[in-house]
Amino acid sequence: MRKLALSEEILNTVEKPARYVGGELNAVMKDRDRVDLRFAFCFPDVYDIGMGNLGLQILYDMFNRRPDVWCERVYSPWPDLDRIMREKKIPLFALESQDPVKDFDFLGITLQYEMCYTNVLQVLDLSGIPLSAAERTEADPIVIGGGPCTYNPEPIAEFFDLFYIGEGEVVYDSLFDLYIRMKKEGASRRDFLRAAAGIEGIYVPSLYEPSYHEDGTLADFKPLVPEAPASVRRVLVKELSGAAYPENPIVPFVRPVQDRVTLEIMRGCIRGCRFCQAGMVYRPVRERKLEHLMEIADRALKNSGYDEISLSSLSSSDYSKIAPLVTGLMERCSQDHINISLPSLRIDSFSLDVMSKVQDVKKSSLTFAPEAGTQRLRNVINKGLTEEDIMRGAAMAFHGGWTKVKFYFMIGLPTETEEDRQGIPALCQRAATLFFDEIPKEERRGKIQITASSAFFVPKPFTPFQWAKMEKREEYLERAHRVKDGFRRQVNARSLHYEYHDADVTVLEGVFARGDRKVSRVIRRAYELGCLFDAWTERYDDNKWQQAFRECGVDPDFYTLRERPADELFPWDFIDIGVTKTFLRREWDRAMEGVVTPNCREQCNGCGVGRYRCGICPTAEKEEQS
Amino acid sequence: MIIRVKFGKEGALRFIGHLDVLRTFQKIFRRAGIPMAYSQGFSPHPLMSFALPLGLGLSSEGEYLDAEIEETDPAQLLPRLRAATSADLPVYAVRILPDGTGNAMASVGRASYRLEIRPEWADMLRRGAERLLARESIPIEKETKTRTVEMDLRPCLYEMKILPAPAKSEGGEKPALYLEIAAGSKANVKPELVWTELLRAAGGPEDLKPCAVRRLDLMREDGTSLGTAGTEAQ
Repeated sequence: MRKLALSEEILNTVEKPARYVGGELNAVMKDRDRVDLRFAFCFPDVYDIGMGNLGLQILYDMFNRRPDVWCERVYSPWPDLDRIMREKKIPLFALESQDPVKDFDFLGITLQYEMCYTNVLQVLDLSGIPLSAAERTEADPIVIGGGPCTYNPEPIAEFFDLFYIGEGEVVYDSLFDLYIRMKKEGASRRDFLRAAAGIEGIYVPSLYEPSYHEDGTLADFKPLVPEAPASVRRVLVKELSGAAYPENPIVPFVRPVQDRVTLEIMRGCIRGCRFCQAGMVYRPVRERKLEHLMEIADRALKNSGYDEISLSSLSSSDYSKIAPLVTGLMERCSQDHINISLPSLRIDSFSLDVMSKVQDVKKSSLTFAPEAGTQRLRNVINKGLTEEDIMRGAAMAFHGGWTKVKFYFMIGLPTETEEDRQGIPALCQRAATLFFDEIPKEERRGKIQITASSAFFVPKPFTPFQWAKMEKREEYLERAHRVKDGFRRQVNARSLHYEYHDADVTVLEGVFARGDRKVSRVIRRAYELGCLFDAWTERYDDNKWQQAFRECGVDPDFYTLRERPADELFPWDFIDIGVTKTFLRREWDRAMEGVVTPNCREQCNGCGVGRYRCGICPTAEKEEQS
Repeated sequence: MIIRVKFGKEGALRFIGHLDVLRTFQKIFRRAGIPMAYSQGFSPHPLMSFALPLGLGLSSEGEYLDAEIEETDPAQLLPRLRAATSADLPVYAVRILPDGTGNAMASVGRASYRLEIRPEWADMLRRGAERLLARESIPIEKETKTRTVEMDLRPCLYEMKILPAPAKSEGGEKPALYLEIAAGSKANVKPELVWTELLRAAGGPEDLKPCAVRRLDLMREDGTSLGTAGTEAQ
């Protein structure tokens, strides 16, 4: 029987003890003495949130296919257990073996959102690993970061030995081989890190040194050793259908946020929305082949016993064989009482037909993401969706029996005016009017409910808007209040509902998104002051963060309120994602002119990623089409 | 066909609530390729029910669930379920129930438990058990979700005795208190409640806690195990 790291008494005291005991279906157990490398894979948030993450499942499966590697999982202990572990000096442990993280060779941390940064420090701290990479010794695991936030790793660079820039399937094998070989040779930590810097896609922060201008902007960013390349190139999978896929997903006992099989149908997005980081850093679009998808769906369903499967991609409607895929899955699933969930489908006659078959029309709602209230601003952000598209989709949906519609918007986009903001309630009102015009009273099967929600725009690295300025917190709230007033003035105000995201968190996200190495001490100070689980609204404490900025002498406005000049050197410019800065700047200029850029399927716009010669790019080495 | 599955809860599973265990079993049936029967209506759900929820933190070697399934080769049931489950949720037996067998939940009348204790408590607890069993009635107050009710504990006590520590070779070092007490819809008492009364009768310290609590089996009111219903699936 597995021995648990926590005593009966503690497990009986904490909320949801199932978070800490492991032992789930398909969790991988190995003999710790018969592997050469132990990898603790951490999602720095609570188990229920991190459990279903697809990236984690893919790498867990891939690592554990190696007989010489045992990959286990680690999550952030919730504050109740966090307190007990500090009091009783219990070291943080991995779920499978329940062994202390400190005994592992690697601690890998997936960075999915900026607001998890204090949790990263919690995980290091509870593990007994020095927070700063510079203070670590031969006795500490190698701490490696991966995931979306590594496209600007600088605010947390101090805390990591390595970052993996790009898609996990590509160079982990080389990294592990190198580690195992050097460990057997008795090489030092320092030697290993230097050697690892030579692997494509691996960034070793300690081997680079930034220098700054007097105004605080970056002057130079130089490698300190010959092994460290001046530019770290993102690695990506050229042919997804050949890549490993978790056919034995771990099935948690307690209901996680993602209680289903996730089927990743493609990577990348053809659309090129100018605010969207994912749309740039995951280029080019690479599809999995239809037959391959049907096979992995079938196996993952059989092996997990899940009763739901969900398609995953940035824009599923753009998958070239979406109709046969969905039809095939419906056939496969209907006999076994398995549900299909179809997020990110564009609303058209095909998707409505499918959705009416797989979900309860009366209960479900339809989602549109126009992002901006006017066509002018939608052109600025290059969002292809027009008002005509929305109204046509909404009309079809109303006739199909749907009465609940959701709209997603952003406030604070570059060039935004009051007219654009008031366009938000106006657009929602026109959708409501359409309902009353289209559907005769006797055919209405419920009250129309339109919910609009807006987030405040945060400019992200490697997007055409990386030069943009943000606003002050007060300005965001003022704008949101005026939009809310706009909703109150609409004819069908009672059918319209508007909500907006938190402004404090937005500003902090803005600092982290485009921050440099100076920000790391603020994160460390905020953690010392007690900030943790900042992604949880009820746990977020803005006063402590403000205090941390003051005490560290770091001005958040420097990162958020400046519109950057065209020639500014950015902290993330040493990363080469394939898309060129020239292309991004050209897109910025087109945005300012309100000119849209065609999507990748209509025309190649020369973003630079063509040099990877794969996916949808015209440069791809074409093979027989499936 | 309706089957009764006997299973246990060990290790990690002790901290999984019974609704989550039910959901897990639905996944195990799918993994095992055993087609479940579904309820009729707008949102069909698999027809599956537990005999009696087990408190969080308790281990067990005597849990039961009844499930209605599509016709399946009976000899395949146990091996397939065993292959599909995890070590902490062992499946011990599958029985096929004849039509008209009352469901597991309605059948439960008693439950037996093993409460591990320290050797030095054995005499004190034995004394307490003798005193309790000698009384004609044991009026107690029992907390329910909404209110406190008065009840007589005595008819709920079928058996209480001290078991010696098993041989070291069998992994045990501690003696235990064996309890057989009322359970189910008519009268239901938890082992913790009996433990408290036992300490009171023995004059022992109030804050004493058993080292571990394990459910051994569920029985009908007449004392026969729920695991004897129907016929073995083979």
